[in-house]
Amino acid sequence: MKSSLPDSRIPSLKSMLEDDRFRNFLWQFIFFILIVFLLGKASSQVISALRTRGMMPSFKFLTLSSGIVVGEKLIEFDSSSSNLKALMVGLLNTISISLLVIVFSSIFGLFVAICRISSNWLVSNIAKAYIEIIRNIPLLLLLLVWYRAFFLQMPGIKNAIMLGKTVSNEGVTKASLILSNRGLFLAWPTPTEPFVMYRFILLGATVAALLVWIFLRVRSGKTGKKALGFLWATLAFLAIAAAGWLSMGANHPLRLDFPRLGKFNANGGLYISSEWFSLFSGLVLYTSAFVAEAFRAGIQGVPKGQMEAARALGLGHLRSLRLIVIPQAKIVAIPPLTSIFLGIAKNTSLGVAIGFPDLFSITGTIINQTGRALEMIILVMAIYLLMSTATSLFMNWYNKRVQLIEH
Amino acid sequence: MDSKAKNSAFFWLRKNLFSSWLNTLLTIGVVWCVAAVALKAIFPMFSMDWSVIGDNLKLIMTGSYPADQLWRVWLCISYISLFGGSSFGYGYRKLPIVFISILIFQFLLLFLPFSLLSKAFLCINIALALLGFYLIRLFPKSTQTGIIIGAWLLLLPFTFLVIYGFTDPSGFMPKITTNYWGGLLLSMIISLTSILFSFPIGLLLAIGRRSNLKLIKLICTAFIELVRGVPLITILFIGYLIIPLALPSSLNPSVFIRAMIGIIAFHSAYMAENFRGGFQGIPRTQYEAAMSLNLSKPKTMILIILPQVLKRMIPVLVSSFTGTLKDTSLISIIGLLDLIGISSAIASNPKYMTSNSQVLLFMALIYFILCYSISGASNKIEKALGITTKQAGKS
Repeated sequence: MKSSLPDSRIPSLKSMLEDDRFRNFLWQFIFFILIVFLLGKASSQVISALRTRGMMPSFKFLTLSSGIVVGEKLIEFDSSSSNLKALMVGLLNTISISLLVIVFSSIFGLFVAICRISSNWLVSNIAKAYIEIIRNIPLLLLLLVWYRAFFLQMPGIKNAIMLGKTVSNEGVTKASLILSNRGLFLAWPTPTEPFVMYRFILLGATVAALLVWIFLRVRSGKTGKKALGFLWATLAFLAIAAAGWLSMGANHPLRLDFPRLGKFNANGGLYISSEWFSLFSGLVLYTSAFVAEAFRAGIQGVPKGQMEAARALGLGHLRSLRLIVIPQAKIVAIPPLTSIFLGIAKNTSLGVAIGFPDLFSITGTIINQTGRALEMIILVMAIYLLMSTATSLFMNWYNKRVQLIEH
Repeated sequence: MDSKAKNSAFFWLRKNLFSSWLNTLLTIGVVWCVAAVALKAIFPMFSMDWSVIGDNLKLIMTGSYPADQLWRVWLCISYISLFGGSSFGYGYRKLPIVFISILIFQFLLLFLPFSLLSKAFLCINIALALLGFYLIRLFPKSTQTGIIIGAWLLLLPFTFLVIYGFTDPSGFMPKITTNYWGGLLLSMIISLTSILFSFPIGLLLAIGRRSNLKLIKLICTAFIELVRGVPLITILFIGYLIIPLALPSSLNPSVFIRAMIGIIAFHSAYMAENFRGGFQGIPRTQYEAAMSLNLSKPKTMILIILPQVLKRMIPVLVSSFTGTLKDTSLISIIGLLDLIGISSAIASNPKYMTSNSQVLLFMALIYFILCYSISGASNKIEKALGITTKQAGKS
């Protein structure tokens, strides 16, 4: 393209190429076309491949009956329920186990971190060995060791390990804890008939506790006195609940249900399957090592002078930790903790290796049953993304709340 | 023993274990717990029947790789020995303790009932490592650096060439398809390949994310966040189930390649995040200085920023290798026979059904030794380069 008028209003190709904005646009355009082309090519290929198999992508199969049998479920589910409901069961399992792991690994991780920075050489080094071993072994292997080398090696139901064993006159064996290769049975309080009544008492106790808490907050806001609101509220709750319990006399609203040993299995009480417990304890052990390192980095990141200054002001060791060191350590520890907590929901997907029906392993089963790989993977990725986003939004909000605001 | 040493040992005990009555109580309690655990859990391990490891060692290490071609695996290990030795020779003047202990470990392996070929190669490896240690000094320092970097970069092509082979079945290096690869060999090859590919891809993604071009930034960010938001196993399933659909049926990649693509995509996103950290560590003045020298944007990136980022990334690269190695264990779920897949395969053999714990514990030991030594190396490199990473909690 030759321009006869060098200084005409129509820019030449060369001058256009020298313009930054045009060049940027050109690059993006080429990149965009390339991506669209590749994606279009791949998706048309996928659709034509699916068409030859007679399976056009659609989500209708979700409403069909699944035919899956799930051992662990928090909601009503049987094999005639829909695929969508099966997915729901898996999602609830994933969420519940993730939340429990977050709580327990935070507590255990903090404990390990405290051991790690202890001045006792033995304690500190045992904590260190624990952290190093866990961090250098794949989680999958840890779960498999825990499941196959520990739980499945437990004695059979005949020789089960029992605590608090009693044999009644009819020859029924009861115990407060039965551990066998079938899983763990625990004595657990179950509601009896008077519980319907007792529920109202509990409701009343909760309301009273809330009132106490609000009253103390308001009063401390007025007088400036320190209020132990939480403590008093708990005490109020316990007092009313206990009074209610006693007033009901012999009709205890809750009864301890002891597991009974049967011929092939135990029943009654709280049943924790080997799979659930392997996944839960494996994840807690694994996550705690990382949580401990995050806490330790946080505590050690606080300059020594802070502690010394707090002590010089006459605060005791524990109070200086609580009021001076930990609030500062929190700021350092939260970003790494966020990524650890984000990892937990994703790590539960390894339940598939030990047969725990989490979101991913249910997805795998549905794919096997229906052959709907594409739809299921899109769906499950969307769910995981939603969970990750929710967690990170919450942690970012919390992070913002505790960060120092420098003016 | 003279009294001074005795005293210092006594003081050490008092200072670290019995400084107060609370500490003394703690120490005694912990010792009691450790003793209980050792009696209940550790000592029974010695009385277990460990013959399953010896019987299946070849399977654990290389999977179903043909037994008469095992020398090719040994050849790759010799390559690593030679240049591992040279790397030590490059970094240390005297034989370092780590190096000596690796050699002693190999020497001790000679007394285990291995085949004659393995023993011969073990001897050769020890000799090669020592040779490499002293040979590297014959070159001038600048050549040494080139040799070491080049050798490690060539490790993967060399391994693929030797393990995969290039001649027909009657030739001297017959082709062995990836179906026969397994065990530790497979885990190592997949991790190494994934690191090597995810490094440049992650770099490009990170640069794309920092770009001023909105669209490129959007696409890179979307990819990184998408991949980081879902578990690795879903990405592997995309590779396993969707890639065969998305590619023309004439290509039909093997499970190995599909797993590889999944793992590389996954680690690229994480590598991009590491790079982002590296970029954020570069002060803004560096960009401003480059701008005042009238360097163009690509030139600023290549000449000024990247060399600094890459230097910071070396220890991260080494330590992310342990992450990759650990993550690779998931390929057993899509049916590849890596270390974990092999353990399930052994468990399904009726003869070894009762020895599954031993196999799993042995694999945990392998992973621990590998990952622990690699993260140790990463710390060493970090110190040697004088870099302090952000997450260092050592104060």
